[in-house]
Amino acid sequence: MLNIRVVFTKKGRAKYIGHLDVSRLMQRALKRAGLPVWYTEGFNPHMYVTFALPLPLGYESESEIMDLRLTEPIPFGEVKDRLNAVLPEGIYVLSVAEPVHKAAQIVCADYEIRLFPENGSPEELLKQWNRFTTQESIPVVKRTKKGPKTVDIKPDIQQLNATASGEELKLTLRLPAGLSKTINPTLVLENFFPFCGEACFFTVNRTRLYCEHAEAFR
Amino acid sequence: MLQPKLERILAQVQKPGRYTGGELNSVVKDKAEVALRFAFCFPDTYEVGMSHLGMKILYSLLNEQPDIWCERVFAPWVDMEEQMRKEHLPLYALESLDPVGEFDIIGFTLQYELSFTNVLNMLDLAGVPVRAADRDELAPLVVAGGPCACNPEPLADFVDLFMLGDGEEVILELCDLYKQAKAQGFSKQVFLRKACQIPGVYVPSLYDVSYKEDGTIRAVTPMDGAPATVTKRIIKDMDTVYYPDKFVVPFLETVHDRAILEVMRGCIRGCRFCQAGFLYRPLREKSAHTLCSQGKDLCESSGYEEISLSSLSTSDYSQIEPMLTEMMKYTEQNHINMALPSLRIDNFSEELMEKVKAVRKSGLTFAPEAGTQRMRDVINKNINEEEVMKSCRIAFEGGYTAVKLYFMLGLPTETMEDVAGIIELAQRVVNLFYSLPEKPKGKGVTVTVSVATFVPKPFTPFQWEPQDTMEVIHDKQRHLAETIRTKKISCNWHEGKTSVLEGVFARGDRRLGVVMESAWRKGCRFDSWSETFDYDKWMEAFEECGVDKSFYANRRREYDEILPWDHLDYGITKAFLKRESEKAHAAQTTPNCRQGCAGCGANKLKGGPCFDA
Repeated sequence: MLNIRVVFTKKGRAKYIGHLDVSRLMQRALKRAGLPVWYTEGFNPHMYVTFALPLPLGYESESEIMDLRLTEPIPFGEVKDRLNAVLPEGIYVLSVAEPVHKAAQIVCADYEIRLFPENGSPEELLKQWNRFTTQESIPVVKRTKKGPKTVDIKPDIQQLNATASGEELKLTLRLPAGLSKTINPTLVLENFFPFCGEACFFTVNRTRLYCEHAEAFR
Repeated sequence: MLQPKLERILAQVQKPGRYTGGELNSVVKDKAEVALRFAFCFPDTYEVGMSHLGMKILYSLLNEQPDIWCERVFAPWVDMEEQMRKEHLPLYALESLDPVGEFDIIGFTLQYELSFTNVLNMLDLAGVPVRAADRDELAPLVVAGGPCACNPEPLADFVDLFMLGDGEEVILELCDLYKQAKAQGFSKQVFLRKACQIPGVYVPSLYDVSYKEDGTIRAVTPMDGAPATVTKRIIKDMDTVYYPDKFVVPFLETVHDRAILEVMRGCIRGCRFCQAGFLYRPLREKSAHTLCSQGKDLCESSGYEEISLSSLSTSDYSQIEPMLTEMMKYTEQNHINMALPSLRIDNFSEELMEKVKAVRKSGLTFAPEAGTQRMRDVINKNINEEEVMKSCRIAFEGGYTAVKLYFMLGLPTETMEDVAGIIELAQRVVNLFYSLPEKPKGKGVTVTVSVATFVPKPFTPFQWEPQDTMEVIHDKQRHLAETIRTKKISCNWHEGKTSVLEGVFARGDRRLGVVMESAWRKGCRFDSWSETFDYDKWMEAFEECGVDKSFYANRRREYDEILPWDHLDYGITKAFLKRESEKAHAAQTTPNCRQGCAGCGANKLKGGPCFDA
């Protein structure tokens, strides 16, 4: 039995495929690729495949994680090639390796966010963004199990880059993502838009996942 | 990459995956390299349309032709439609994302009457005039096929031509003519006059319909050399006919998302209420060998974990046991589930059930269709209660504790006794369970009674029958509920309003075109969906157009009346249907086709008897 971790992309049209649908799609791809995937034993045997950190519908990603078991060893490069040969547009296996960390160790993720203002200029939007992030605190209402709760997300936003160019404002943010805490970019932007007075179209790409101390998740 | 406008819209709608395309096995060609672009439209949601076998067959068949590119189009759900209209985004096809209005042929499959308004709505969303007479150019040509093409008259104002019967051959012949027309610059009129000479092609604008004072049809007169009757097409040899080795694999969960094998066309049973049982005659089977190889190909190209068998009355397939035995060798090894729907009670053997059970245990459904023996004889559902009970006993002893029974309400000659008989039959199934020493231990039984409203359809022995009014159906439903004496029986039915509309359009004529257009302009579409069906708007439309729905739904027709579909020939003769109608009223049954030929007339399409003597 061999545990393997597959890192794959979800780009272009594939960003509209929901989490459960990705799971089914991957199981079918594994079947088409003819890989010796381990099935659970029991009344209803099924392929044992798990996914870390579901991505919100509509986000792109270069850091999707699928863990599974093979019943016989196959070279990692071959697993990658066989899967890529049968995957649809937008879903592409970047790497196959033995897992190092557990999915539960993930604590944050990097996101590339592109905002397309309709009325003002990207430069103007960048000024507003800088005003937004330099406030004393950024209180947002989060839905929790115990009902809505106001939390300050300012300490959670790590800005890695912010550039206005051409038609768009590009932000790179590192935000909490994991079992204990998740702040996704939509939550940040939903609070930014009323602040700047313009709700604009945006796209998100999740680029990397990290464990504690900014150690890359592998 | 999707265009930015579409991206913005998709951020606003539910299930955007319906509208993006890009699925595995979808076919993308270079539009500059093809001679004909075909937009295959299913007038319902993506999830429904992507489950439909006919579309999969014709999509792949057309794309096998190097000079044709066929793409898929589904009806956008109301939230998507709202965004598309607001942003002026015309209806597009899922492969190229190009507007449907730019295609050569726009083809609709007509699976049920309540999808007709979606045909109009999709044309309108594509920016194409809905009325055929308002489309002067050859392109886009609007065509349709499918079971509802057997009475296409309510759509005669909107669709340029219909293809009757099996589509595999006629659709290619039509495309050939179209390519010729395009190359030689035929006008639409010239094209239609030539098209009506292709067997199976019906061009409604080439037939004049006149009416008597009482509203019935006086005559249907062909013009410009159109044939007096149009005969449906059939595929004679199911083993050599094209079948796809790949299905487009949807990302979203669709209604039926699995490998489908078509085991046969046609049905030997002759249940008198069942339109499909007559429309698809004569019976033609595929060999077990063909099916096994097609099943394997489909699973390997799709990664599907389930194969289902598709046909009417699948258990009548003569090779079912050898086929399942061979197929199971492959499916069991590859973790593939074999699903067997639509099994008839009378040949549900223990052996067959073991095979179904070996893979995965699911619920059991039986369709006695009527509660009393007299009623079952009227509809020619040739099973008796003993057989129902035997099947249920085998099921219970095999560990099943839930049974679903299907019935119909509003059948011709039905009395309140027949209605109560439905619940009484269910009660005897409950009693049977508790009488069995071998019943599953520690478990109760659930018998679900599902009651559909009967709608008389063309090309059946009941085509002359009045449909029960909504009031009568409501009375009968109430009587059903009052007859239930136990919580072990749960009974469900649909509200009768959609059946009224279905009944009107199933046996309607051309004068319903204005009603349909009026209702659609008032906002009616997705009429088969309870959340969008708007009965009041429909009633307004009938009123404003001065059309009496009961003329179509609730009137008994005389045997000698000219019916709106009489100039279309589905093989079965009117004389046969009349004989069957008379036998129904006498509660006499007709044996199935294997037991003896009843002389329906469909074997003339095959050019010989259906079975070796």
